[in-house]
Amino acid sequence: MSWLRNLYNRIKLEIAYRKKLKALRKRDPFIYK
Amino acid sequence: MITVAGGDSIIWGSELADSPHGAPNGYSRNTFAALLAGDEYHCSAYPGIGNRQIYSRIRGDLTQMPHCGVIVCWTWPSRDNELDSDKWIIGLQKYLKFHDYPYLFTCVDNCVITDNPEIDWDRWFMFPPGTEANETITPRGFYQWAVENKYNIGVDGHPLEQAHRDAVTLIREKFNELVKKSI
Repeated sequence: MSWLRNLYNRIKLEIAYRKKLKALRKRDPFIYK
Repeated sequence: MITVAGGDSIIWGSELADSPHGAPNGYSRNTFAALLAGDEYHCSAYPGIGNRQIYSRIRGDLTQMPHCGVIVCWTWPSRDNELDSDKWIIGLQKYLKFHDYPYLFTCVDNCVITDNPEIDWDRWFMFPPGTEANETITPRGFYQWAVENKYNIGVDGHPLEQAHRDAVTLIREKFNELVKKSI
């Protein structure tokens, strides 16, 4: 079942990355509308 | 000797009175970078670009200018879909040091700052932190400093001439020490 745990961890990391990137984009007033 | 400036619309001078358009040679000579450079100035900046392009435009322009000073105002890493821009910053830092270009780095927003020990933070100018509760309490980028100090901004949000003039007063000493004296 380690492949399932790996997949879960990868998805969790990807979600965290996208969330951080979205927050960072909001700081850019010239691109983020 | 000439000073080359890299950055985005802030260094291009979008919305400043003497920057009529975004086409070649439409850049302003009243940005803090241009005012620090004086008469011998080359603008590698372009509106809307990210740090990867800031890096590559400076690299491209420097191949034709073996002796010049460099000032770069790094922008938001999210423009390149990245959480930090360390690889572009370190890449340019290595190139400038290897080829002995005197340089100074700054940024529009302190979100580009990391704790990466490979970056030579002594060659950065950061704007002073705010003191009010609603201001950034860590050293700031130009845009943060200008907006939080309530300088006039244009309809598209760019800090206008007075912010650039006052920024020059703050940066000049470090710029002269790291760039002007060496070129």
